[in-house]
Amino acid sequence: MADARRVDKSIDASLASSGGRPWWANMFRLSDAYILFGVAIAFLALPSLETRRLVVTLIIAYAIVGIGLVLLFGAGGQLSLGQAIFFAVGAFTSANISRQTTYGFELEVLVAVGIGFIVGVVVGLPALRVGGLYLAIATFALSFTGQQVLFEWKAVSGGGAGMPVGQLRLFGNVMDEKLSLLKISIVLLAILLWIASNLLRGRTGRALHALRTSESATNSVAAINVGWLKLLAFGLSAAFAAAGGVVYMHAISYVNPENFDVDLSILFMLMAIIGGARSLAGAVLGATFVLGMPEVFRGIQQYEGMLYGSILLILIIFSPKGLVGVFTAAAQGVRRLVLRPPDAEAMADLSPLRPRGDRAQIGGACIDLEKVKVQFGGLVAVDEVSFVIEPGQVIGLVGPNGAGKTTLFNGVCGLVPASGTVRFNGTDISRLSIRKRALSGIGRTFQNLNLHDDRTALDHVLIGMDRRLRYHRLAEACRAPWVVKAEHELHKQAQMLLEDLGLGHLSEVLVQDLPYGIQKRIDVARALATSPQLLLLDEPAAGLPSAEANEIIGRVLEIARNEGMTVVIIEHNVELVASVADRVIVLDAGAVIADGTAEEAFTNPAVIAAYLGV
Amino acid sequence: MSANDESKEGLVISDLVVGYGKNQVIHGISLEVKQGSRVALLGANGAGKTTLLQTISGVMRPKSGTVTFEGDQLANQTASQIVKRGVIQVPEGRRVFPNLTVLENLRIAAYGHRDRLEAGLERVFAAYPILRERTQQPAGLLSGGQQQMLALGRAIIAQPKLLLLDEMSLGLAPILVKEFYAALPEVFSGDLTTLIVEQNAKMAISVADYVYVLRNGEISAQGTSQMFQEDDDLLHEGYLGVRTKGAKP
Amino acid sequence: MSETIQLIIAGIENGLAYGLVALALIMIFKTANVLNFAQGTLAGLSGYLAYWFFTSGNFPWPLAALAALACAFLIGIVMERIAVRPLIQSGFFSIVIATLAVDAFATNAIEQVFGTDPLPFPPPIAGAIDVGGVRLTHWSIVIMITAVVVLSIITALIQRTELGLAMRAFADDQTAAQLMGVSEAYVSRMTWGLSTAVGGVVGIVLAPVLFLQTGYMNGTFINGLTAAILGGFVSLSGGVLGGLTLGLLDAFAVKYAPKALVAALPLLVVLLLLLLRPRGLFNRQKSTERV
Repeated sequence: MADARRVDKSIDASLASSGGRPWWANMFRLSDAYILFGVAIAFLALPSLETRRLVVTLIIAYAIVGIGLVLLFGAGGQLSLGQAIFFAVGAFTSANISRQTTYGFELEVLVAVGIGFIVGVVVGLPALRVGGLYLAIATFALSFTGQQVLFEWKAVSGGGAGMPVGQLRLFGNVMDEKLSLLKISIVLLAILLWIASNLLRGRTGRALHALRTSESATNSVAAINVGWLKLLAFGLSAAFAAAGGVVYMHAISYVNPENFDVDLSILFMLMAIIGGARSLAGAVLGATFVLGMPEVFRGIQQYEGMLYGSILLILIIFSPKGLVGVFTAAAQGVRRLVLRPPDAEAMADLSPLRPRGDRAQIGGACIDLEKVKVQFGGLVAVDEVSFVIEPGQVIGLVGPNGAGKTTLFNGVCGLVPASGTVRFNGTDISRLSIRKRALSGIGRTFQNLNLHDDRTALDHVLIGMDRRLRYHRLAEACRAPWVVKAEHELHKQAQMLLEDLGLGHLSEVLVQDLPYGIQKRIDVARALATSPQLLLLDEPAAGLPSAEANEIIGRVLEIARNEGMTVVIIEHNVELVASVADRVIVLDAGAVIADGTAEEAFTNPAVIAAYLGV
Repeated sequence: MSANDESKEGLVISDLVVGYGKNQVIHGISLEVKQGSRVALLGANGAGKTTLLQTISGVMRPKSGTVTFEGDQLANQTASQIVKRGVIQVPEGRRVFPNLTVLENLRIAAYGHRDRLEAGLERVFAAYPILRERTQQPAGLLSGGQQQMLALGRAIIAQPKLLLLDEMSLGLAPILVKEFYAALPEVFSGDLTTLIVEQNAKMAISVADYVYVLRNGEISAQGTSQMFQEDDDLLHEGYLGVRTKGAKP
Repeated sequence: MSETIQLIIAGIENGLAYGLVALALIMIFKTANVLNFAQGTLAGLSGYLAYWFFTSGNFPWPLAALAALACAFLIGIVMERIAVRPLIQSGFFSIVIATLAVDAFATNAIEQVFGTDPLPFPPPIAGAIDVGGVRLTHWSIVIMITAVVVLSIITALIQRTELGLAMRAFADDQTAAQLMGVSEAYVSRMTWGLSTAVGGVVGIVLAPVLFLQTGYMNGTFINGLTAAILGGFVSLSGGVLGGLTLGLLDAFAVKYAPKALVAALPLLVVLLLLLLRPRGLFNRQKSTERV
């Protein structure tokens, strides 16, 4: 396999620190303070909550479900209409454990989470093959039929009559004091918030956000296994929902399948969106809103559906980020008035490239195309193209509109089916998946950018560098010290790459707020972040004024040459190509009509005829 | 040049700016297609030609600037309203409806005007006899050239006052494209106002009266077709931006 | 033998209902690429409205049904205007969520107006016929005939009228359709209106059978959804065939399979399909549709 030949660029190697904060300063974050603060307030307020303890406990149960939805939907972008069933899994699992054994809450949660995770993964299996809408349907079907199954499975659920639950126990002690459940639930919520926030801040969260905003780039550039990722997301959301179910079960002391219907699943979804699906605070806020409103306004209980339906509709049209979104938009407005965000229009001058320890010579790939052909129905887009590119060469791929240049890229990357052979450093990659090809060392940019909306410039580089990380998800969930260190290292390397491309000052800016030229640079940055041996640039200068185009192409090629990368550039700007490429290949109607130096290619009568017409 | 009154004005575009989000594709262009004349708009891919046509047809909205035809403002109208004004586009890649039959494709071109189908059908079949044999075939099964015929047939049925042709040469053998362009004057009535967008410059210049060259979203050259036919460099520079001295096909 | 025929007839009757729901869902999917999750509840609402026209309005039954259908059509158009049109630019997730919001709203509204107790809605045509040991209620015959009639009307509409042509062109290539002068807003409106009306037909004819109660159309909706997937979500006739298949499967499963399995049947079918043949079993379309 090609990647055995690459120098391991994982983050086990430590770097000479160039100043800045030490890694262990990241062990504790602001969100931890919020959580501790919230717990403290909650415990202080306990006496006054006593009369409302049922509602508050339910809010906690729902909020826990909401946390799962933040991971699955807010971050991962997968719609699930079956959360009520996972909720039920948790409730019935713990009901049976509490009735039939003397094991306590701690075990109930662990078992519920385990079973929930497995059921979630099974339900999420269609995600390996189909997309958003079908997943929504599958989960919707689950929601409905799951309840029917529960009704029938009397041994576990007590059938239509339901069943009472056993006592609440914790670590062997019976907890029958009035506020016990509430205290335990608060602690559980805090722990789960902490775990979720660790996941969201780390590799898992980044991968989920990338999945939501551009599945194809996540697959073809970051080379993340999107199928497994979706299953993980489903499993996690189900696990959280099950944990919520345990709390719920103890709160109402009696479980009956009729509580876990389709409407509950829809309510969970509504709750997540009303609160704000992208933030953990939204989970708590949404649960408080949905359960708290009927408490405060006694009369509205019967109008819940109409009320929440209308609110949801209004929010989704005017403030899709939910109530949290309303708050953060206001806060951002204030920030913009008070602080002055960096002038994104001003392009930073490109400082000279500094030598980097992490950029060891990885070398370029040798690419061998043999009779590569791409055909759509009756239309032949790439017509038996063959050529060999030596490691480290910079090739300009040119030709008129419709000549098949981007299609050729897509064929090499596996994005379209192609016949013929593609060899990468001698290995035949023609039958490999898109992701495996990317892993072998192909990095690319896209004509339409394919960026991740709502993510920062830094995020793009971080997701490109994903494969440098080696830590396990469990360690990530618990924020192990080595995870913190690795993340710190990764952020440093990512920032340096941005600085190399003159984007250092824009690392925290959301990409959709940036001008087109800078967006193109970020696309390139993401490709470079994957440390490719073959860099495919698809019209990197299109739409840019000449000076800017020359500057950025120059810098990219400087980086590429330093590392010995093989580069292929599709460009229409003939002067630009002539000035940077070692060799120019001209395509017309899917076939190679010229292959040589720029001078040779552009004075070739066949080429001129192809561009200007006969 | 006789004085044109308002109703005889052709297509007039003034300081048009079009972009997606922060990305400006067309940076402020002005051009004119006089009533009854044929104008060619040339340029390499990415220059903004299709975006311009999409804007004229109302599929895209401009950021600023005006588009008027026969004195009417088009920029703030919906696509279907613009079509009602007689602005008909034959889109890039033909875009026939693959799951509709040939006849249904022609029928949809008469949307809102039932009588146009009958009026135009014979003319379409006279110009492109092969379509008569394939009326019940799904359009997706036609070859590239036949799809082009169908696309032009749709335009005939729609009784255009302004005809917009987007890259007819794309994916077709040059000799076929030559035939299509050559047949244009008879297939449509000779004095139809036409805007021809093309990458294949020579072909377009040979059928047009006036030529504009679009490069990176701006007009980089313009003149009568005769000017372009006489001076190759004018075209090469406007198009490729590079002098290709001594290399004439 | 007669038992088998009985099951087959039950299967066909249910299957036609599922097929019609699938048809309504596919119609919207083809033009808007979205699933209308409120379909089931709105179909139920139509049933309630027919009841209301019949009892409070004292309309004769056929007129009550037609009035309810007209309302369903209007509701579809209103829904398009407030829940779909504003979200066209926001992507399909937003529209799906909007339909969920409408579903929540409608469910509650029905409860508020009509109460939660089941309402008696006896079939307007009572009685049954007995043919060689097979019992067929008159109302079942009405259901099947209605279904076939509606199918024919919709098919004729889509294949023969100008609106249907516009809808099909729109589903093929939205931009090209606009270039032909087809108004995007008009096609969208009509599609949602018709789709809701078709769902409404099912809700009305099934009301006497399933009894008017909260969520009475939920099961039919799920099965209609499954049928639509069987049709690959692109083929109207595929959806109907899928419905019939599912109906027959269901009828025999109820008789011969354990209860838990019967309950899980739609889910199992959906999961299996999505895993093995996402393009559906009855997908007639040759062009590659986005899955």
